[in-house]
Amino acid sequence: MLDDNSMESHESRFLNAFEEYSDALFRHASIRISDREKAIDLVHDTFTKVWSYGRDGHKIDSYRSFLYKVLNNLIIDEYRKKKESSLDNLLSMEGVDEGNFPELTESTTEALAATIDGQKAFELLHDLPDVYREVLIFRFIDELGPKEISEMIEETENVVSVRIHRGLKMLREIIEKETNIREENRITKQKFK
Amino acid sequence: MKRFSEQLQNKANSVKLRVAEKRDLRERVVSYMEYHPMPISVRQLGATHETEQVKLVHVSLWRILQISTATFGVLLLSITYLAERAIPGDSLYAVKVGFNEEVRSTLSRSPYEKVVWETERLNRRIAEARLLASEGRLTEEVEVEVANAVREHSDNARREIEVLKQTDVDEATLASIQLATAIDMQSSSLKK
Repeated sequence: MLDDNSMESHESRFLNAFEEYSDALFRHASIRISDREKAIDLVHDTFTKVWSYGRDGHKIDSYRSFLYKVLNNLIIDEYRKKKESSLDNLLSMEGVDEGNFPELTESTTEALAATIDGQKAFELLHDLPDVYREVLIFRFIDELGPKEISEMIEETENVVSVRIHRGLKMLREIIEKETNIREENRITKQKFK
Repeated sequence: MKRFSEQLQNKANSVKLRVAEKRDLRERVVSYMEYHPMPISVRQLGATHETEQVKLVHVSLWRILQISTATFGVLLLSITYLAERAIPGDSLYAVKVGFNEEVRSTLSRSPYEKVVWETERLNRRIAEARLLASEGRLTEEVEVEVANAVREHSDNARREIEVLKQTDVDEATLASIQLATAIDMQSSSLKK
């Protein structure tokens, strides 16, 4: 009787985790890879991998963190398959120094974020290299703290903070560039009228 | 940052699984679970459910322990309270002399307090003897016991007075007078 109850409990916990986190995981994957069908497949693979991990007798303390971590690894694998030749690859190469900004505080990030239009930023997230998109989505959409993100992506908190800061700066630059182009187009159109 | 975060969140919230997509996804996951059930060895581990059960057992054991401790405490207090009224020959007299009074002796820290308490014990023994005598229950055996107890308490008090003399002569003198007065009073009342 206890065995059946144990199994039921394991299954119900797992299915509860599905109900609770599947939408958030899909949102995360979908924004990261910009492919709805692929995002659904990645969420499916995430859950099956976590189930298999439990079947091997491992204990899962927090489904949320573990599911995000597995999904993140799957997304990285997906990027590797695509073999992007972008800044991502340069950054993931061994020995690339991402800098060390001990003076980088939450307030400077806050001040930087305050200068950015969140709605425009969302539309332009795809223009960022994934290492930055990853931390920005974790931080501002999934609302994870730098420490949680650092555990998720297996980097130091410092690297996470630097990436968040740089990601925000890049977003601001892209938004400014977009705005300037639109403005130039508008002026050009007016001239030809 | 809150505004930026809110704006980003609002846009992100529009990205979600459709009802049909979620249903299909759930079916795929459940199907995988059915084809890959938990092995018996893992079931026996009980995963977290077992820890929950242990927790429940732990909680109920803790509750039982709390109730037992409270019951024991109430029982102990009742016995010690009733024992205070006991006189030689009563079933609880041993508790009065051997437990209640010994505990109080232990709680008396300074030599002066010890002298005062030993004097009090001496008074108690004589009062008990007088009560028994008034009820016609003072046997020779009890008389001997009372005499021994009085001697023991007065010896203890004198010993503590000697200790006290080494640190505080004035207090030792005061304690010595109190003891002598008590002995005189009790002796004279017994003679009556």
